[in-house]
Amino acid sequence: MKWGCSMPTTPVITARHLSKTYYTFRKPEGLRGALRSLFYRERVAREAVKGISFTVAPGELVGFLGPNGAGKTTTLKMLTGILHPTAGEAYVLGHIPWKREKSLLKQIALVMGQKSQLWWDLPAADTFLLNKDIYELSTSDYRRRLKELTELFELEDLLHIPVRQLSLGERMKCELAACLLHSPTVLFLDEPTIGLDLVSQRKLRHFLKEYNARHQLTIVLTSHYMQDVKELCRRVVVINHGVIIYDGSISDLLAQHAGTRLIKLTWAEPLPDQQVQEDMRRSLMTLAENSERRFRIAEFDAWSTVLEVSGGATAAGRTAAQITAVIPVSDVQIQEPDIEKVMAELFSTAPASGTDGAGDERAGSRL
Amino acid sequence: MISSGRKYLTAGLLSWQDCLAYRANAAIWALVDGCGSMVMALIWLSVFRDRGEIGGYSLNQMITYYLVASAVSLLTTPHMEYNIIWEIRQGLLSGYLTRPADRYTMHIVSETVWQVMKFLMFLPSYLVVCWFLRRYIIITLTPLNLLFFCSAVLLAYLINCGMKMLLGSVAFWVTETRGLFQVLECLWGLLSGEILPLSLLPIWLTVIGGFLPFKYVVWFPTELFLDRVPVQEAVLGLGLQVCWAVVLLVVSRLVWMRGLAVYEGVGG
Repeated sequence: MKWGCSMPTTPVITARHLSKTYYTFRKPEGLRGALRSLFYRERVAREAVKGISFTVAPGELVGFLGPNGAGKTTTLKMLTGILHPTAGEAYVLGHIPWKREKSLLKQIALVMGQKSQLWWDLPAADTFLLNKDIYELSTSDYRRRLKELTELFELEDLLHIPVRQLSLGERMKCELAACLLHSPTVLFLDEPTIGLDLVSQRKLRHFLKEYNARHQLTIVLTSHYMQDVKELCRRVVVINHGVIIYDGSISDLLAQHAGTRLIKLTWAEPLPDQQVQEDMRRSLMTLAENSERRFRIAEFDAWSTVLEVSGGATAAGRTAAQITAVIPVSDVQIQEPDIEKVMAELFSTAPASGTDGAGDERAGSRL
Repeated sequence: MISSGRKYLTAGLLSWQDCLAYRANAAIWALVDGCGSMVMALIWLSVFRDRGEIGGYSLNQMITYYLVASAVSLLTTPHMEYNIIWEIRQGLLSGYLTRPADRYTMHIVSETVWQVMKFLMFLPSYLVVCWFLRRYIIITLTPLNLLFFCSAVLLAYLINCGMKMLLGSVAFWVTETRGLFQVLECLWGLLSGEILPLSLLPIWLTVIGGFLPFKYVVWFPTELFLDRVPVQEAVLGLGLQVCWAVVLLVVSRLVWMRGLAVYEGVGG
């Protein structure tokens, strides 16, 4: 299910068989190991990204999801030209990113949640002025953009305080504004909400959504917070052990990987005694046996019940309709499976192709 | 072209403001950078007590040598290598690589702005020392000497920029480079003429030093100031300075570009 491949528009980003291998040295533990490594070091190759391919269409909001060390940040670094890949090719707005052509760099921006791009000891306003010159903005354009971003991100009171004295949430808003000053066409966000409290996370997501609604820019985001991706992106690329294990919409992912939906039924009248409750339970079980979709009673009490039904939202809806036609209820809720749970299951399964660290190439080197 | 140059100047001025954020620290660095040679001038005062000439220098020449050498050294020694290794080791370079500005150029411009500021901060204490030692100072500058001296100082700065950019770029391949920096700083101190005029070094060391760029960064400009270099040798020296500056800047630029290809941008 390669989403972008069937898009009629020219992709903004194309990656073909992109790979990146890092080389590190292995040091045996202890003093003996330390002495030995003075003369002989084992060189270990670690494939962080293993030949991934995908495309991103203009205006898309794509989320790269994966556990730590899955290869999502490495992919982002190759797409922004920070890293040269070991193999494969990539094009961003028709340019090879690691050639770092000025015409490309003027159209992209990268925000890193774990690395500040603002001058630490100076107010954010100074970095904004530097970016004005770096991106060669006219004074009138700069003022207009600054006004818009200041209003959108509510920066009025933050611009003239040294960055080191801002809270993480305030700093992230400034980081984002600094990167958006030159109106980039493609925005890369690497873990933008990392370390933020829930309120700040929500605010940042709100700003991003708001900005995207106004400007329709292409956003590629990496995160291991499911909520970021769920709220911001229609498309998700799940990456684990350096390979893409899913590329498509979140709802499809949930339908494919979550075998069950939950139907919560609240009785029209509370069930008064044990006997009535037992009768109700029996009726439900009979319905379950005759239903085209099997369901199971997960919870049951005098006020409500929770049923677990296999299949997607449509199947759950049909089952709920079938039940409510027979049993009087005051409320029906169909709950989606928990995305965090789906992801945890997905990450724990072996990748579809490629290998994990076990396939690393090792070679000794004398230094 | 103008707007392209402007971004580097803005970055330079910003690094100036950044340094001013910790004013006391900046002042201390400025003093530490310059005080070494001034202490040496005081030592030579006692060494010369019962001698007329040492290594071809009179007492007055020696004192003037150290005072000029300390100013030249301060003005022409950038320290961008520490910033470069910090950015590479912490992965902070990544943020600069995604913006349409050349980080190599930005390092040199920022350091140049900082050099000027450092010199201005150093100037008051320097002038006080000069005033105390005024009776030993000899200035026999002709306009030609002055022209040679200023050109030599500028070229010395470019040589140092090339050396420091090259040194910093080593961090693309070697994670811990501070040991290497220490070794080179010792060599630099000895072979540049900052610690001793080169005529006082053993001959074998001056022969080796002749093949290296160090002597052109402090010793050569200072000797020009003292009018101890014949015109022909001065022109040849300036020519060699140009060669060293070009070679070091070109090599450091190539190494930097190679380094970017292996840069790993560590950390999220």
